[in-house]
Amino acid sequence: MRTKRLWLPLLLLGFVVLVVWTGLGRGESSPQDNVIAFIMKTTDANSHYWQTVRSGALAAAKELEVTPELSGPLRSIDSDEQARLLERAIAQRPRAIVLAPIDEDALAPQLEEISRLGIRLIIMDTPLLHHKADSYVSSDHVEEGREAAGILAPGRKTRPVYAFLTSDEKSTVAMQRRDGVMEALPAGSAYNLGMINVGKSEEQAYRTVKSLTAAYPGMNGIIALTDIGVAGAAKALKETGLSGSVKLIGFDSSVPEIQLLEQGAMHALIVQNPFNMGFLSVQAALDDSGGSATVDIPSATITRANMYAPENQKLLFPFVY
Amino acid sequence: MRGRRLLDYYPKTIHAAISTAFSLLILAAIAVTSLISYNVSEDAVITNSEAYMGEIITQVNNNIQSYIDNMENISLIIFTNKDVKYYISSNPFISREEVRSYQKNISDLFQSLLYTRKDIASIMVFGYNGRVVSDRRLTQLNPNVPPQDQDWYKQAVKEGGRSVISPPHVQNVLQGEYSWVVSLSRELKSINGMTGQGVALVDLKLNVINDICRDVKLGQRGYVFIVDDSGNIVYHPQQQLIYSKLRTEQIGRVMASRQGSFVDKDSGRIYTIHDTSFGWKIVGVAYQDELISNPSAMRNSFLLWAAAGLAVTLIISFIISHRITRPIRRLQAVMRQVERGDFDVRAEVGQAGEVGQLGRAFNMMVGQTRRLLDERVQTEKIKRRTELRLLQSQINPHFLYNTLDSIIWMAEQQKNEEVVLMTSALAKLFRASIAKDDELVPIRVEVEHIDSYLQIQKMRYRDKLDYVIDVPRELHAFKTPRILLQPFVENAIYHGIKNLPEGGMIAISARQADNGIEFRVADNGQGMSEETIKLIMGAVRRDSDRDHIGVSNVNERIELAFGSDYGVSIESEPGEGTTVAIKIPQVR
Repeated sequence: MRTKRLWLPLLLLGFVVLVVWTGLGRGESSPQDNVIAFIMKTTDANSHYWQTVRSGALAAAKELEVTPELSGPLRSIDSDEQARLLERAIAQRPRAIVLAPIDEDALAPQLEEISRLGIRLIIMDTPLLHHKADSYVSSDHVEEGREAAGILAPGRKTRPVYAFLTSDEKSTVAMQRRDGVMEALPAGSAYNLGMINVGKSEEQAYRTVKSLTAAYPGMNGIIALTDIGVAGAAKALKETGLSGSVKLIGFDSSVPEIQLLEQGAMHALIVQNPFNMGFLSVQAALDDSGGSATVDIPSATITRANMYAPENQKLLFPFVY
Repeated sequence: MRGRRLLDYYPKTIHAAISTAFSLLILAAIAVTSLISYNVSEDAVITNSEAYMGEIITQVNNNIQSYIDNMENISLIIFTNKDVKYYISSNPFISREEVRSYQKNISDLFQSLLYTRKDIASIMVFGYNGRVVSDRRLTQLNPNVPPQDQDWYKQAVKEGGRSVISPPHVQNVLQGEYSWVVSLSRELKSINGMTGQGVALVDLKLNVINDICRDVKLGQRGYVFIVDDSGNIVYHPQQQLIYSKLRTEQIGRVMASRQGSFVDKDSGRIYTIHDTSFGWKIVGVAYQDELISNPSAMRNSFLLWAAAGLAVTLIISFIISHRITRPIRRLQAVMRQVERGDFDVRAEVGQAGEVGQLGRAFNMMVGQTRRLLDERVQTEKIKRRTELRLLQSQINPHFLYNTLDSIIWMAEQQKNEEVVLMTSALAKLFRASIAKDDELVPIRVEVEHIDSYLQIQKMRYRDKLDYVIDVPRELHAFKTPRILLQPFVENAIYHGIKNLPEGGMIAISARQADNGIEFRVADNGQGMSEETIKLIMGAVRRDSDRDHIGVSNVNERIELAFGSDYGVSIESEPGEGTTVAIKIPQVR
């Protein structure tokens, strides 16, 4: 008798509790779920490239409401420090790790740990050759090489005779760019004078190019895979009066390179879009839907003619905020 | 199945019905009011947020405007400065020395202006005569970038004296400097105010605008962007993504809208547009779901309060319905007692309401019933007593006549002793039947009475009748209804023994049975059939048949006085005799 009279109020109370419970239950997520470790090659404030990557990552973090843990070695060659940072990030068990690897071999144990723990790993800028990542966000460096080749031999009217300058023979990015060039200009359609390592020395590049111009008067192109040799090469070409006839093509931008472009001492710069790289890496880190494994960020070819177009200004003169 | 269950649960009691009705009404009322007030608050929040956004964007506009005004002022200073006019004039009479001193004066002026304004990147004047002056001591122009080819220069010339605000760009006219600026340029006029003589350039550091826009807080994800009058983005936090077509912005709609707000339904964003005096549109973008500062918190608090209110009102409704129905339930309990036969209970009549009236009426009814019942019992008793009295007073005239006849006969025979005996027995018999209306008498009295009766009968029937009375002395003190045994003895004689040629024997005994006393009247007479027994026991009282009245009367009297556990039972076999057992309780 008593229980029968109580069933309705009890039922209603139960219903109310249920409604409140589901209402309160919504929108709750543990904060750790929203942390994304973002490890760059360097946090050096003078590296406009990486500072712009950082801006992109922060913009994405704000838009997508995640907490980015930004880090990176002070110097972009300190792969041991990067390994330590990666280790610390793994210990935090973030939702995902975004990494721009300096040296894949130095990071091998950490990379294996990440795949063992099943943490989502996004690689940006430089590809991994021996490890797997969930997503790779970068410009297509091989495509960059092809673009450089296209500038070198527009319309295939002349047979390109060209040389590569590099400062780091181990750099994966530099190698991919070279491969791209050589793929577009197969032996027979062009003459490759080889790849010359000029080290970190502007002087070395200057002398190398000068002797190249003497040895190969028919040379009509120099592709500088890294920005170190560009100034020296430009100086050598200017002195020999070949600035117009030998196309100097570089990758990524710096103020000296921009000035060379303004002067006409450099033919083209192929620049990446670091802001988009930072932004899309964070976006890829949150994309659990197993979307495309590779996010391609098209590079832009900048010449003297288009360098002050509004969209290119942003690429050449990073506005870091 | 479900319908069946619902039907089962359909409230059967008034209490359940009232609480169900209350609960459902309250639930509906609370749900409706909560929903309405939630929507109203949501609207209020959105309206407030839009007003708030409008204020913020106005603030942003004021800030930017103040910087633009400042540039404008600087350009006016340049515009009206005599030194500048001379410096860039095509007057050939000004000497080289004079030019240098003008240049120094102008540069000093620019420097002092720059010194007070940290937001200005550079101030420059380009004369059509080829002379250039800036805030720098040594102005080194970028040889690869002719100023005349720059947009800000061309626009200033085109506008002919009015100031022009450029979109943000990299200022590259100075050697080795590449800084992001917003330029204000204006053509300078000659002293006569007609012909153009040069272009003044004031560069505002883009940082300033960036900082203003970046510091604006429009929720977690909201932002501010600026477009110029031709729809080009002046500032956008994600400009690169837009250039790369990875993101789109509602530029078209912003350009088409006048000052105010619109909501982009697809993305759930609110755009608040503010037109500036210099052609830019400052646009605040906020996410609708964020504006309701915390929609789930608001919804939850609404839910919580609705639930709390519901719980409280449910409990109250339960209590109220309980209280309302309590008198009814009490009345119901009393009715149940009456149903079980207890007419002594009375319903509490507390209040003057309907239930009170009901209670009063019920009490009245129970009282009436009770009175009627009592009356009936009383009537029944009186009837029985009257019957008994009738029985007692109606001493069979035949019996009296026969007895007297016998006495006469005995007297004629000179049997004086027998005459004395019989007359005294008759006297005793009469005394017993006219004794006081005292219902119960000691068994001893009853035994004497039956003994007197049997003595008379034995004398009358001589050798044909014999009898034995065996009532233990210890039972004599207990009480019994009067003239209990006589009807059975009469029966035994007239129907059992009288017609037997060899005569018969009547044995009267009494013994203690379980919680009572059992009298037995046994004869060895003719006996009766089952039908006769039934006829005698269930006999409807017929006035013509006195004897039968006697037997059933005794049975009824016993049952009336002592309950149905007691009474008369008859065992008989035709030809064997009859035994009548009369059971009464032990009463002292």
